[in-house]
Amino acid sequence: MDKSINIKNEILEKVSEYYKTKFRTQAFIPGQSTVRYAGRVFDENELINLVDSSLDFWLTVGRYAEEFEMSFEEYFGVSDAILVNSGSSANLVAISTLTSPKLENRRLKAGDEVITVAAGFPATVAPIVQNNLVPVFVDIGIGTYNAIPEELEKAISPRTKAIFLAHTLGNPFNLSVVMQLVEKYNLWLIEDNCDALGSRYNGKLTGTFGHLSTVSFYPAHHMTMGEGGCILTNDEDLAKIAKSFRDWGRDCYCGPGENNTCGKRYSQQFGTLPYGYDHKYVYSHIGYNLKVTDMQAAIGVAQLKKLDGFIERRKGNFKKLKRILSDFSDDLILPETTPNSDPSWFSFPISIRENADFKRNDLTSFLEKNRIETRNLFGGNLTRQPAFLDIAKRVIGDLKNTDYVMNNTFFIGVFPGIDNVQLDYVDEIFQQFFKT
Amino acid sequence: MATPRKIPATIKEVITHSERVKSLFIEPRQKCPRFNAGQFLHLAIDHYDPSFHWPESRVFSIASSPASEIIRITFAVKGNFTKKMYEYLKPGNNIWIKLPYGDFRFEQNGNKFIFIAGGTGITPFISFLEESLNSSHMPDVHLFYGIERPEHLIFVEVIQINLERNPNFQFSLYVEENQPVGELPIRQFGRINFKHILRDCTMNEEFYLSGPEKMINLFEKNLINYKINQLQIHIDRWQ
Repeated sequence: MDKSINIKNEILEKVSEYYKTKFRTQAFIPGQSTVRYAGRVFDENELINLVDSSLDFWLTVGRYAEEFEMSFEEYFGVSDAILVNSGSSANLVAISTLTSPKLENRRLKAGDEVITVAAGFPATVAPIVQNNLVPVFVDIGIGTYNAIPEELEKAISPRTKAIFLAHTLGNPFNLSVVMQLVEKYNLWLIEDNCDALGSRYNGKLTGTFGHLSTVSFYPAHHMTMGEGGCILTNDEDLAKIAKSFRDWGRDCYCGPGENNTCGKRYSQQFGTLPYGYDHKYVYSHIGYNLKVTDMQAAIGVAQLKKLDGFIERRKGNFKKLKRILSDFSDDLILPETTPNSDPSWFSFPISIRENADFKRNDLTSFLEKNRIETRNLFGGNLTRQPAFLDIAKRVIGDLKNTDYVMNNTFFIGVFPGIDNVQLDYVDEIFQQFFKT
Repeated sequence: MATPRKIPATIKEVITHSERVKSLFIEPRQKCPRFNAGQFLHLAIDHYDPSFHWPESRVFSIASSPASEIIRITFAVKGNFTKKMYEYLKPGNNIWIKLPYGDFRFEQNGNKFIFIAGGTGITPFISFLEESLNSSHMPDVHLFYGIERPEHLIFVEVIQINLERNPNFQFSLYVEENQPVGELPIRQFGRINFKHILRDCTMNEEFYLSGPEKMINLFEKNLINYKINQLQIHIDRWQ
């Protein structure tokens, strides 16, 4: 056997040993340990894969990226899973894909409108603006934190071409209504599935309804690569365009270090380039370089094997928290699952009722002081954020609920790293708050 | 298309069709990505180490059904690489393949398919025809197949089974050398006759061309001259 293979096996055994010493489970000490809102959950396999990949020293996409994409395609039952370097990049590529000239009459052009919400993370809205499209904001429901279904059709104008919505914090938006509108008005649909990996609507995984959908592998999410994201689609033409946008806008689909994959490297003519111009350097889109490294994908391969367990833990933690916090429902608005859905929750959102005699910051300060991490619902109302004040936009109604969420909503964690001991502690601290 | 993947594989069987043409039956040693009929793969004879570049390879249309666990390719010796393949590859040899690639897709949009194949250019159509045998759908297809000599006739069984089982399948064989073939009826000696295509088609069909470059260029030009929309013409073109 090649000596290098023996050495590699020794190294990987040592990695396993290292994991067992370095990352052994620390006992939760109430009042001293922190109940995180999110975090990475892993065992030695992630480290082993990472080191294994690093020893290839191939660095760019390679065997682990290929394996991950194939496995993820199977997981979702789609034709294409396209790895990128973040969920935000996935959103950027997804909306950019719809601007491709290859889509002819259906392509999104400057000034076209995209329906979305302001109560969310900027990475859903920013790419709309970056592509010179106009976001049209609809209000959300308190409790579901998703677009109010009845508001969506009101938002449609002759310039509306797409709907781009996130399944907020894992709770699916009303896909029945959205799909009806998509069909009725011939709209594109992008599902931002970054916070909803494993959620289902009518039994079907979210991320499989839209023309494109996106996933994030940032450590706060259901599974991680450190940094990483993915675009999913069942449309091979859209997949090809998405890959082009990801890969500098090029027409070629050679992998890193490859040549003449198509077999026609020097025998085509594009634009007004001379016949036979090297296909590796033909660009059909104004693109980016948003690829992952194989090391990130290596972590993802190990994480994907644990994903179903992670999803079940999140659902279990959510159920327990709902039970715990239902004691305080006079003052707290607890999350409401969208009908016909089974969310894979990103977190547990809570809104303070109008008649409560305390403010959100009173409660979150108390929780944080007692080492329970909290987060606001991301950007609150993005139309009030400095970056978004002067963008071209249209707003349906007054976004009253969006403002309410901006002022009164926060979330705590349900990630798989939270166990019953921690949930008991959360219960205790909430009890303390409401006693005082 | 699904993410292409590099797969170690083993040659299971080799069939020699002529002094220049062979078929390889390849067994992947890892899970293969799904491919569509009409797509192609790269085949490398040398070992691939993920730490280094992909070795020298050549492209071949996949000639087996996407549902089959064994992948078939059929190749003709054209240069040094394919000569090496012809001379050295035997059952039990390990190779590397990467797949799937290609846009030569058979879009099921209700239109009849006209397949125009020259020599080993028939291979992408065989993948489609094999796949259709495993489905309940009986595609409406007319395959025009041209070969130089009778011994160049391959995939007889697939064609025969399609003729038996699919009432919508039509087949026209052209042999340049004036000699009978035996297993299948010859429509005409000589090259594929464009007038036959004109006569047998309504020109609303989807035309798929695969074969030698000169043949493809000629038929493409003829179809365009007869006002066939470029979008109806699909070409499996190689340099």
